[in-house]
Amino acid sequence: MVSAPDIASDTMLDAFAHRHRLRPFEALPWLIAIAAFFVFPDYLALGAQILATILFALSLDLVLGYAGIVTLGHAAFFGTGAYTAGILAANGWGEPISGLIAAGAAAGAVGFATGAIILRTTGLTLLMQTLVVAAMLVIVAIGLLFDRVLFQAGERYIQRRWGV
Amino acid sequence: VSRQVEQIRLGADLLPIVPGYALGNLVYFLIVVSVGGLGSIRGPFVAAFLVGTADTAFKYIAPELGAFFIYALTMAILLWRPRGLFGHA
Repeated sequence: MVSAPDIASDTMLDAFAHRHRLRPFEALPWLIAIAAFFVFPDYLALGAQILATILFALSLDLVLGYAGIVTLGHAAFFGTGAYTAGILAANGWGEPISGLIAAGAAAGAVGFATGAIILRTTGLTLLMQTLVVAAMLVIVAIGLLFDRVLFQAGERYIQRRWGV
Repeated sequence: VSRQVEQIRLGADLLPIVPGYALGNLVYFLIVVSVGGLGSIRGPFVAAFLVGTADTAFKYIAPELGAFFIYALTMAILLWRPRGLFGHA
């Protein structure tokens, strides 16, 4: 007789072995990205935006497809990371890799804090909770951060960079 | 001004016709339905009054934070009663 945890772990291993196996064509976006770095050196800003969008779509697939969490507020984490890196850069910390790590850590902290509260619900209620969290972060970003921090810092940056 | 245009202008102050105007109101519809509870008429009716009054009141009390409190209120009510105020079990 097979106990319940054995069945669960067997199913999980099965899923990892078959469904979640890496396939060769999944390396295609990254190969294109590396190739674009050398082929189109004038379009690196556009390439970076495309890469960020690919990562954003993949992260939604991670949450929705693999973890099964139905969410309308996924952009909250995108925005949290972007604001973290943006505020750091505007205040003189322009190093990209550490900014990336700080952005990921900040978005993870927001996800951990809100997830601990709202992941107790399911269905439409969970959908609404994620939407509400994202809406609250939008108001915080517009009301508190944009006016007082980012706008002034952005003006300082423009003055320093281009002298206008 | 023709009669038809007059009829259109009747609600234009409250719900102006702009591209994508429904998306802004969709959030309020979702809040009203989820707070009120699925599958009832009385629930969303009460929730619409509650959300509308609370939203306007909080926007008067703290204009800087705008609609922040209505989202916090929605979150609190849904944590307290996940099926809404009048939702069926």
